[in-house]
Amino acid sequence: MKEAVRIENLHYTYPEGTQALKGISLRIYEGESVGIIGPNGAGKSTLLLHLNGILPAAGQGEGRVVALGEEIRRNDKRIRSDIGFVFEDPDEQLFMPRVFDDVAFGPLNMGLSGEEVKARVKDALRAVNLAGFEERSPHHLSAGEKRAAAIATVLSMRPQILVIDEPASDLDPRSRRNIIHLLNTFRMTKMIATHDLDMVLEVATRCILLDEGKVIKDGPGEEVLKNRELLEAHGLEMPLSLLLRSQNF
Amino acid sequence: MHLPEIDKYAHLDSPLHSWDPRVKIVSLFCLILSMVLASNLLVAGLGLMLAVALVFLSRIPFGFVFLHLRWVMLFVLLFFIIMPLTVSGEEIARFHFLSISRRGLELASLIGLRAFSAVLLVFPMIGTMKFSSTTAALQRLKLPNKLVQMIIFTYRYIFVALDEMGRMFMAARARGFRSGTNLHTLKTVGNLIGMLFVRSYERTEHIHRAMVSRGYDGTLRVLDEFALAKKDFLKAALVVALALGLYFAGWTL
Repeated sequence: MKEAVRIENLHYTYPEGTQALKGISLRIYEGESVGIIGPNGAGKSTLLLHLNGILPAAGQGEGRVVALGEEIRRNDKRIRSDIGFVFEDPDEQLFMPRVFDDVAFGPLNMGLSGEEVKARVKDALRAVNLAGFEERSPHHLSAGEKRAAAIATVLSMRPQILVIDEPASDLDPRSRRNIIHLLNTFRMTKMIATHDLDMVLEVATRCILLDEGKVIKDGPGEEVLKNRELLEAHGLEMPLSLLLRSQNF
Repeated sequence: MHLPEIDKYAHLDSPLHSWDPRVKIVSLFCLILSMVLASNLLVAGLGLMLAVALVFLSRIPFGFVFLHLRWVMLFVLLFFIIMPLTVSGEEIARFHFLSISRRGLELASLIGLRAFSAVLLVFPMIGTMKFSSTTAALQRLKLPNKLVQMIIFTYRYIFVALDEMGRMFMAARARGFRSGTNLHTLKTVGNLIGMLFVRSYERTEHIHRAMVSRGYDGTLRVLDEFALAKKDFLKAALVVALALGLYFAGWTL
């Protein structure tokens, strides 16, 4: 299988002195769907931020991140259309006055023609079931619609790797189900950081457990998520569906 | 929190709605300029009538317009209180030691008419198109990109910030806070506003990250599809002629 991301001995310390990453090394292969789990402060979001070089310049870091064959450096702009990053809060991802402009933002920055931009916006909104939402103001969307629109803002750039931070936080069960369904329809390489372990079970083929800036366990999704002692030792709980299955419900 | 939006009636159909945004902004800006330069009450009154006519033509409900005008009324009221008492001139009434001057009243009326006319014209100007069209037009009119970005983000996040403030006040009330005319209220409100600033600052950093991760390099690019037609220029000629008429009428009337 072809390598999509290679991270070698990655360390990162925030300007105020918090050591967020302490020697992370891992490889992600093309087409994989990887769930990154861990308690608060484990380093999940910091790790993801390294994938397109947008960490604050004041921090201290070492190690290498190679994505799609290119080493990523801080503020590296070349790779940004290939790695779509969806942030946790959709109100921060959707910053334009209407959905169309938000979804068109990435393609316009890529220098694409007006016709191509419009086609991409249409495709991206259709892919997240928001066709016809072009003129809507992000402020008036429901939480689930905002999340889907946030995903569309990077889909329009046609990334090879989709990186999502907490895709289901603050969503009601129906919206969460819709996001799970959406994520399962995408064929590109996916890296999903979340506390929702039931979601990881449904969308990820592989699971990486982080704690205190280190990789604690890396393996097939179900294998990691079935390990109740390991999860509880790192502030997590076994997914309810697996728990019920283990108790023959 | 429900907040009235300036482009709430952008979907209506009127000669102002179908006008090219760029030409509309420039033409109506000329008219606003002629109104704020009105040198006497007669011209200012004509200007106000013209502004009302344009609001009527735009089909934006007057109730919506008046809702926004209350802030202008507050501003104008201050002039009506201060100027008749402070500007010297022919006395028309006296209450004890307070003398009301005709000149002061005329000046306050002139300022009031100018302010109402100018603010009324904002509705046919930017209330008849989507906010995104307004900002795209401003960009095409070569307004500095940074200024356009500030307008866009202010409009987008003012609602988010007000929602956040509403939640913070609700949380304070849920813990027994009751506003009053006292130091405790001032301190609490000060703290809440301070916290809102801190949160907004953090939010701007996150938004910047989200923009940079989608290729933002400091310049905001938007897609617009404006097309000029002959009728756009005809409307512009009519409005600019009215603006010039008002301006020169001020010299002759």
